[in-house]
Amino acid sequence: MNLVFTHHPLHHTLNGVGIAAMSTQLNASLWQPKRKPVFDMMEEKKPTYLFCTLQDITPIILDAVEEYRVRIVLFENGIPTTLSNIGQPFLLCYGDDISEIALKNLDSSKSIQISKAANYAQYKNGKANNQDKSDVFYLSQQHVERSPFAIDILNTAIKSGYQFKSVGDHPLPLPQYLGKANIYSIGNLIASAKVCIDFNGHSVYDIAVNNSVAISTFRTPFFESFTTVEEFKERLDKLVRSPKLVRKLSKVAKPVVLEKHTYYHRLKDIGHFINEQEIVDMCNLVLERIVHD
Amino acid sequence: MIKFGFLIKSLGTSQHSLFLISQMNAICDLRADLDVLLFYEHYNNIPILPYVGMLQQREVWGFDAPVCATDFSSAQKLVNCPRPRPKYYYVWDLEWIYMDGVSYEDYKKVFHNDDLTLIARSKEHADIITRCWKEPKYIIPDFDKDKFLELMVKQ
Repeated sequence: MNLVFTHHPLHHTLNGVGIAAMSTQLNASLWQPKRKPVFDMMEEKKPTYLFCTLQDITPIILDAVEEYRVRIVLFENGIPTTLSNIGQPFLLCYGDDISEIALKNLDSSKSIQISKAANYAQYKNGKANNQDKSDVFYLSQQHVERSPFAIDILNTAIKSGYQFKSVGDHPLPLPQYLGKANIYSIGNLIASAKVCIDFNGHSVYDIAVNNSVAISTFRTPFFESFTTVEEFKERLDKLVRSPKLVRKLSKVAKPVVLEKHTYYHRLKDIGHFINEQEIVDMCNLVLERIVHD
Repeated sequence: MIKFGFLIKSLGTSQHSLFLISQMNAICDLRADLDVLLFYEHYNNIPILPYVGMLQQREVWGFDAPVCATDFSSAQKLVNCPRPRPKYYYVWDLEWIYMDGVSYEDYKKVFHNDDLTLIARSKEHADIITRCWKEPKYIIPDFDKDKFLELMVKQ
């Protein structure tokens, strides 16, 4: 079975699931439509499944899908445009029946929700080091400038006098924003931070697997959430000043995430949904290793 | 003869090159036993005539004397040069705030490089650099000739 995932670095769910598939023994690959023409890719990879977003569906893709008999697993482009819009990415599977008419009449009952998960667990855990250390770290992966609340939160963190660092794909107009970073550096930065800020659960699971603690607007059983600036400030002060509490919380969080919230779990759910036992089995193999490690 | 050099990306009209050239000219007026070199990447319209030697930046590779980079692009090159010792990076501008296409890893290779001694332009800059990267060892305002001379001659 050949799996091909279209490459969307900012579509965290599709990207996460794609990279998870590539790191199992499944025959999976990422495809950049701008770099490789559709028919070339189809000829070379002969995909059984093409994992893509609605944006990727063009008339050429539809022709190629029909000719090569590819099944499509469709991801809604669920990147929230604003922070107030807490839309989770959404998975739709339409099997063989993919045509322009079918696309216009998507049946939402044939779908499951795929939420974000721990991405960096697929590579390695971050290692705390002196160069990357900070009191407060923020992984900038969304347009916070559109949300006054998020700006207030970041302002509060910066003005509190703690050492604040941020990296990520969305640049912030701050001296504390240190550029885009690769997955290894992000892991190290998270692991070296006392506390990490998270909005809408974007990186809360990654923070947990990297042995740090998140203050998030997203509710998890293991980290405290906040809804107001005052709450945030109170929790930030409490956590930064108490390394013991940070260690205690991260010790609880990591096993829960590795047991339930990695992209292997999400891929396994997709495997169940599309009735592909091979995907489920491969994910189980990796998950066994992760839990035992 | 005491020799040292400065790296600059562009000699074109800017506060950066104006300050650097005018201060280096002033240093050469002070003493006759100094051999100061400016290593440039782009030779544009120079704001004032330099009285110091000028060479293409690639020549710094074998220059066996103290060298100070004055912008991030030059500092990236300086860290890979085997001969200059010691190496300084005068952080004229907080370039990571607005530079596109440079990653955290690239900045880290320069700012956390053990061979490179950071010099800040002001106390405020030094505070920001310390919080984001590492603590600058010296603070020298606007290429101050006396402080630079003291630093370079000390080697």
